[in-house]
Amino acid sequence: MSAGQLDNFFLWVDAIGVWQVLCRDDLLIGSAAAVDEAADIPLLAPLSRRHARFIRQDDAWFLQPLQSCAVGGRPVTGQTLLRNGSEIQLGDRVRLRFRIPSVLSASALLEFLSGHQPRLSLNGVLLMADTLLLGPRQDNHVCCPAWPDSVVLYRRQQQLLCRSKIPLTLSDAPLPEQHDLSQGAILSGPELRFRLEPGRTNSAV
Amino acid sequence: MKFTFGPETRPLEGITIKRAIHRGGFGEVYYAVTDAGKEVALKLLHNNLEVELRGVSQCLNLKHPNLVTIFDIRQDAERDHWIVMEYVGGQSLHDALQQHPDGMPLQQVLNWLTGMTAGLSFLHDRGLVHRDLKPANIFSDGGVVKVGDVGLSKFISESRRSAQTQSVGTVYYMAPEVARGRYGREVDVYSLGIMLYEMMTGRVPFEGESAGEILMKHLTAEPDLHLLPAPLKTVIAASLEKDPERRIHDVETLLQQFLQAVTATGLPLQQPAVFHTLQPDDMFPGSRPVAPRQPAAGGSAERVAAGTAAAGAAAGIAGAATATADGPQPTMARQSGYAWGSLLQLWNDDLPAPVRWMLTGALLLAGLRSGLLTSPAAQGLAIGWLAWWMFGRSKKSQPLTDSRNAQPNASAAADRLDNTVIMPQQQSEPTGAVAGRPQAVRQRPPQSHTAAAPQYRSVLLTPETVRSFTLLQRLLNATTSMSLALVTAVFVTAAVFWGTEILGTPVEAIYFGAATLLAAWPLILVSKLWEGRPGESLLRRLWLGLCGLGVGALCGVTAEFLLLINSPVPSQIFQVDSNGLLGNREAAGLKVLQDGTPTIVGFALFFCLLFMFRRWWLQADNFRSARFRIGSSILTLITGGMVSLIVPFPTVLGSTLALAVSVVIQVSAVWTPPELRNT
Repeated sequence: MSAGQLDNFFLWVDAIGVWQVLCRDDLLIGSAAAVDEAADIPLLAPLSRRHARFIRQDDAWFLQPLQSCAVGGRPVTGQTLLRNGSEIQLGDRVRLRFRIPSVLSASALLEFLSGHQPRLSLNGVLLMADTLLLGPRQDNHVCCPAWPDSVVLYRRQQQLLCRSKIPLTLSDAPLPEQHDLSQGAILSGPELRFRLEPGRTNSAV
Repeated sequence: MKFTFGPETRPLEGITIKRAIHRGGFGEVYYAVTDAGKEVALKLLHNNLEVELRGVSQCLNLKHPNLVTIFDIRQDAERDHWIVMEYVGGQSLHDALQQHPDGMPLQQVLNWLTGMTAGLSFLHDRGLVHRDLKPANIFSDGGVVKVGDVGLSKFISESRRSAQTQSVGTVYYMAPEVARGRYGREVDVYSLGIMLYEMMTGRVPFEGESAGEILMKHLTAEPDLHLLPAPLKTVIAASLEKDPERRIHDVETLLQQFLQAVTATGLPLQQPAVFHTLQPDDMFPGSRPVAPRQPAAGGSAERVAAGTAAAGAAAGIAGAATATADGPQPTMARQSGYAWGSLLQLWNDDLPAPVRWMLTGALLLAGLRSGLLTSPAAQGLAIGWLAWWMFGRSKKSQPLTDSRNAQPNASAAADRLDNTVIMPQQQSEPTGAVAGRPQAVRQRPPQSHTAAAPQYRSVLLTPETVRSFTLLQRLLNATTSMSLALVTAVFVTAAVFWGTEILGTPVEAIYFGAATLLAAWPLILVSKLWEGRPGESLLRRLWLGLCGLGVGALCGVTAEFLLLINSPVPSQIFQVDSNGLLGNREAAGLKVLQDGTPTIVGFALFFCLLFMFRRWWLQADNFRSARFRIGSSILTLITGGMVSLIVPFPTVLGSTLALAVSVVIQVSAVWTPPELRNT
């Protein structure tokens, strides 16, 4: 198991959408158009190759601008604390909303406001701290209104695990107590199905 | 929601399914990526009827920015057909409607309409008809409106079995002639009209429990347009004509007329075209001045004539939700409703508020002064009216529930439709083999999809609307209203004192003001405590009656204290002119009348009945239709007169007091203008 797979995966949720999940505490956002694409979050947008960094310190997220950035309409030059609902502007055109949907987790969600997206259309980018909540509640990271209950994805040591009151199956067998989803997995339950697809390394995207 | 294909399966060469998007009437839709990285939507057709494939292949090479592009039709190893098409992200119109349950801002309506019209116009120009327009098929991708499922319409075709998969969600938007197998482009105009109505009001015009019931309404019922501003009403009515020959002929014309109508209303585009308000209707049913009350910016043109609600309901089964409150009425009542309605419209819409108030005051004073109210004619009228009000009105809610029985033919037709045309429950077994499929569970779209049709809000914001207040808010509302009542009572008393000759001395005036306040305060207090809570009308009347006993006793004691009764020189205003129906009874040593003036018991009885005979809480509710309604006050005045015919109590004083209390409550009680209401 390589650390890269755990760091970066796609979360495909049937009938809901797709999110890119990034697990590191220091993430680079920049243009996807560059030949040597370096960004963890590459957007098809008029940005620099390395435009800004998202940095997590304990339970707080900061924006470290490398090029022109604004938070909440104000240009920022130094490391800036991001609050739930903050609007981030990168360059002249790109606008993102930063959210921390759940008070139970430091995981954050980036939503695309200006229509600038990575090469694949995403519903958003999840900056995962230790846990992700998928479920019917508005304050879940991925809100799935039709689901009967929530599913929690969490990291333990180098493993990615899943927990829920819903009886879940992994590859058509009941989800075992000991499992690791970091290599990718398809999880199903009554009325729901989602897939974790390991992200490729940056250079291969 | 189970889907046939799991992630990472490749039913078609070179395309990998990533996730399921949804399951529609035609089959499952997946998000997939080609090997090169192109995003596509894949639609698996459940029933591979040649008819449908021909429809899609006709549209294969259509190119228009407002139509979802179809790339290809492919067959998989199981010989099932797949449509490969443009992936459209973003919101569907269905999602957008759910965000605006009371109607979306006009600007958004225009955006959607313009995009849809461009796409449909292109389609019609090539001799094609969409035939299955519905909000779930319309998308907005990065601000560009896209019409989906082009060429896929699976209506009640010649082979009726294909209609078995019809879900209720589709029937809401289906033109009446489709049931007879006609599909001109007017079918699309009709669907567009329904969607326009829904975008503006937040609800579809024809709702029902079953597909058959909705189809029946498309065929027979008139849409209830009373919420719409007048110019828009005309356009929507023209687009929803039952007869395709008389309907607006093409979508371009509909767009043109709609734009002109919007301009004509002069409404600001940032807000919805309608405000939902409905009157509690405690009087004059059928003539409620229903009201898309516009904010000051709107002209008077879009005020809607009262009485049209009754016209809408006249079709018998029309407008189920909105018409519930005032269902079909006897013809005579409806006729008189029109006359009264236009008078009321003149009164409500064409006179500025201050003039209205001054006129009201003057008229009431003149009426009191002339002694008209005590004349036998007035009393006779009042008795008759009261009798109608008590016994005649109660029937009016019944006809609606029986409407299907009342139209045997219509209901039989609806049943037939239920059985033959629409069978959402029926399983349509796939013919293809299912072996070798990853998760070979092929089922009909689950009912949850059918049920996912928008949940329309049928409750408008009236005093009946259940709202939540904190105790603090209630107390604040009550105390604000009560302090205002103090001032109002002074003004009303002054008007009666100087405007009429009812009150002779300053002491009598002081008494009048005190009695008005003594009655108004508890009424406001309990009303504000009841506000927004569901409550049995009868029970509330009993409570009010109990309050009335107390208030009456207090008023009696006050009168005695001021030496107006039971004194050597009793005041003239308390001279009882008739013994009333009750007469001068004496029970358990308690008299209601002594020396020609009412006793404390008499006072208590008078107020008890006065409190019970009106639904006072409707006059104090912050969701009452208008701050001050003269009708309510007149009705209260008559009630006061009536009560003094039952209990021996001076008629003039009784009715004037009742009027004063009503005026004070209505003017003082906290009120929310319709456009600011929310629960």
